[in-house]
Amino acid sequence: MASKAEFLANITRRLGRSGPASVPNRGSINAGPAEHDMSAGDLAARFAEEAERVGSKVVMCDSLDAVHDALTAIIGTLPPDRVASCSPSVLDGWGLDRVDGSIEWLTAASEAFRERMPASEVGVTGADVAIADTGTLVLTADADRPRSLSLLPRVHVALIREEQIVAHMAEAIQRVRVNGSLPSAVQFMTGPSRSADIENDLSIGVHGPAEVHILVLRS
Amino acid sequence: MSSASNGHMTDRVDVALADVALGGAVKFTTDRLRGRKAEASEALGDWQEWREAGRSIRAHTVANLDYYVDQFTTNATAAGSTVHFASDGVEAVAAIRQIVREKAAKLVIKSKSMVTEEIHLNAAFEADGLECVETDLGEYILQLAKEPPSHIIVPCIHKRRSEIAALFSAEAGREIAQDTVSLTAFARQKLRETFIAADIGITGCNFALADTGSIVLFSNEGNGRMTTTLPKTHVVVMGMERLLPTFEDLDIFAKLLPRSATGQKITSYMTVLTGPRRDCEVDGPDDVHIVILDNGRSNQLGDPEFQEILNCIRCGACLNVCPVYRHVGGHAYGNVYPGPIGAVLAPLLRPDDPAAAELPYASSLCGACAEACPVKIPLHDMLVRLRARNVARGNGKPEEQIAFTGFAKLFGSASLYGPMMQLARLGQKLTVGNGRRPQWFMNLFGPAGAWAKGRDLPTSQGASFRERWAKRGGHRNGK
Amino acid sequence: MRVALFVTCLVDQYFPKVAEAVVDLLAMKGVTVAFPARQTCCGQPAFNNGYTAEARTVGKTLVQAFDGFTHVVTPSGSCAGMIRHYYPELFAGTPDHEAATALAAKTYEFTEFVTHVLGDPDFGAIFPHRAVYHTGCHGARLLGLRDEPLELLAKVKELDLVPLPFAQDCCGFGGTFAVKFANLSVAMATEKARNVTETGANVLVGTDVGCLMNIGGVLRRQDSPIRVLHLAELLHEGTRR
Repeated sequence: MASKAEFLANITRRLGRSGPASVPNRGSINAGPAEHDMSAGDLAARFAEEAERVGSKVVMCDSLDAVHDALTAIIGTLPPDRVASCSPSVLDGWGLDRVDGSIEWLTAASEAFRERMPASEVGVTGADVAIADTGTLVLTADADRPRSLSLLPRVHVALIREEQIVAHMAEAIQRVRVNGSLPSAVQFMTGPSRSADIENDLSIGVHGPAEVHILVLRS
Repeated sequence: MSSASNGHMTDRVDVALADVALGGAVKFTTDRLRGRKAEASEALGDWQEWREAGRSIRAHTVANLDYYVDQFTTNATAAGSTVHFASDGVEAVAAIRQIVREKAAKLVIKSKSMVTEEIHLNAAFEADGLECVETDLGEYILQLAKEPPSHIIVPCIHKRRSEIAALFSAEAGREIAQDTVSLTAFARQKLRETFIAADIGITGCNFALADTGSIVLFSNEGNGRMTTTLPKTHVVVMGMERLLPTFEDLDIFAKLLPRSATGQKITSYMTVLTGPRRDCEVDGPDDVHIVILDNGRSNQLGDPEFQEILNCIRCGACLNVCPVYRHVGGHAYGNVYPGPIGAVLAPLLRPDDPAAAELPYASSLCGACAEACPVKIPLHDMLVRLRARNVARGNGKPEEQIAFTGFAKLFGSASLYGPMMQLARLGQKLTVGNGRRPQWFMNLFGPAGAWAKGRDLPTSQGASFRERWAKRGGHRNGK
Repeated sequence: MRVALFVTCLVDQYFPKVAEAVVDLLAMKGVTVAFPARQTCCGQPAFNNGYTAEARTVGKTLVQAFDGFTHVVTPSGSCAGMIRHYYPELFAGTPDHEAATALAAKTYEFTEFVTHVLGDPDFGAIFPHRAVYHTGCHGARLLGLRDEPLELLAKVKELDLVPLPFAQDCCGFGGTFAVKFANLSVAMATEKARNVTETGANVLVGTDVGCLMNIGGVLRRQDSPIRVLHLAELLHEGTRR
């Protein structure tokens, strides 16, 4: 097994340097062209268009009640003995206990979360930021927001506020960075899980969610 | 496959050409992939400028790789990951085996990773009697078929749905229908149980971010997320050149890689992982091990002819446009990385392997690969340089050396060339003509016989241009 | 204006009418063509197989033959590509480097010379046939000549130029590749010939005789009635009606 010192020294030597490199000068890097300017348009509408293009379903909601109605409609399409999972902050922040009294909410705060979560039919999450250019949701992980909520259930519902939508990925990256260090997981998610491995024929819902619903609360 | 040891490339090519179904499947899919790439790069706009930006970031990173590997290691360690260094595949496998032993793992799952193919990890696990399951749909199909991938992005590009249904039916012990929905549903259900039971998840790494110590995975199916969310231990195998300086630099590659690979504007899941789960989190691995692999890569550093090969982002675009790949598929290369990138990488990573040295000749040097490359690697120039390296090391074929020595002698002087070529044309007229002669006879004439297998030879239009020109006193119309 | 013709070995030996067409067409534009007889071949067969010393020996005939000319015109995108793209690297560190680099800078493929230097792609040709144009890889990818041949063809009256599906795919010639991987090369050429045939064209036109003798070799073997012409031959025929 190579040691770190040997491994790095070999690279340094191969690169023709006498000692370890100092902080590289990024002067040779070409920044790339400017992104399409989206400042004039309706970012939420653009986000919805792009998300639907890749198979997400987007509902624009003018009020919290409209979000609840949309969520009730989605849950209504699921099998009767369903379990829905969500993070505690989403349950409180979006008042989900007011949605369809028959649904059982399993939250990451629950002791049983790890065992029962994989059987959930639907996972409801928020998002840290959403990208209009690509219809992408960006979710970071923490105690309140497990990675599996947007992964294991067949249906993923994301609740976002219009002001969380940015134009391009570069802005999303800026928002995700907190004091330079990153959360353990940052997921950039665009549309449902897909594969084209069988004769290049698109199939949806291979390992991740087969349905992605995004409810956008207009400001 | 440990190397391109399975006969000669020319023989494998002939076997592949005889397989009509294979050719149909590969052409069908590569046509779609390259068509979508063209549409997606067109839709982005300024494609050449984005390419140049991508190239410049990769070139800068590779030129300062010691700094960035060091910085990455420091930040990954600070985030709680354990970093290992492997000079070759044997050391990498040893490091992973050690982790498997420490964790007393019984079941390992993998998401698609070419670098683990490169180090023959599955064969090592098989020898150890350890159960290891591939979770990418295409890789899962190939694991059941006991075949290596034939494409770096679409591993089972050569498989028809009837073959896939037969494999799944045998695995299920019942009939699985051939439609995509049924096939996918079977794999989803089967693999879901495996994800939950697995002790260790192994992935490659599309990019590693030096300034945050993060690993970045691109996937569409979500198996990469499963593999890095459910098992208690996550092992990353990472080619040492996978680095990008900063999280911000990822933006450009989030554009270039999916567009080049599958023609998608963005991949379904781009996952940025920094260290193991934090103490308060309910899912994610307890331990993250990152194995940084050299395996011949550092030999390219400082080599002006080949350093750029380390800029590669493994998108597969060069395969999809390569006329050779399109006709024969990936297995004919007999190498983990097929297509133009494989034909360059194999002899660079394994300079003493004669089977790898054959691969750069399997190209018409059409340049489609370099044109398609999102980071502008001059692959066709490298193919020629590798041929020159072969000759310079004295590994050219003796008969070829004789032929080109003769060529230099004859074509090195117009006063020899003129009369000798006149004689050669006459010789052709008296013997092979346009090549429509019995094959046994044509075989006596080496290259002419090979040419004439399916094509007529050109025949002379009488005197050569120079003969005509001289006859007319150096004018076109004899004025 | 006076230019030197680099005929290329293949055109010289097998397709002299292509070079004669080039000379006549350039004369129509008032360009006088010289043919320095010391030239033989660009050396590409040796270079592409890794025999760089041998390639230099042969390429040197061009470096010497074209010394003193300001423009060198050749009816081959591939041979022009060899000189332009590879000579500076091939002759690096040799006494001929400067002259080879100068040759690279003054060498033009025929359609490139007509469009970029003469700036007049119209020869007044009339060619009442359906044709497809085959894009030679080296002309397009090493020299970036994608529109130039089409600009010349666009000026030909009564020409029915139809698009060739999969035009970007190599025909499988590749010099010695065609005999080292003969079956593969034939498969590639056969696919190209099928694409050509399916367009219903009765003429295949291109700017590299290497590609044309490859695709044409398949068409001849199939006893196809499709004529195979270098672009200069098509123009020449179109101006002699």
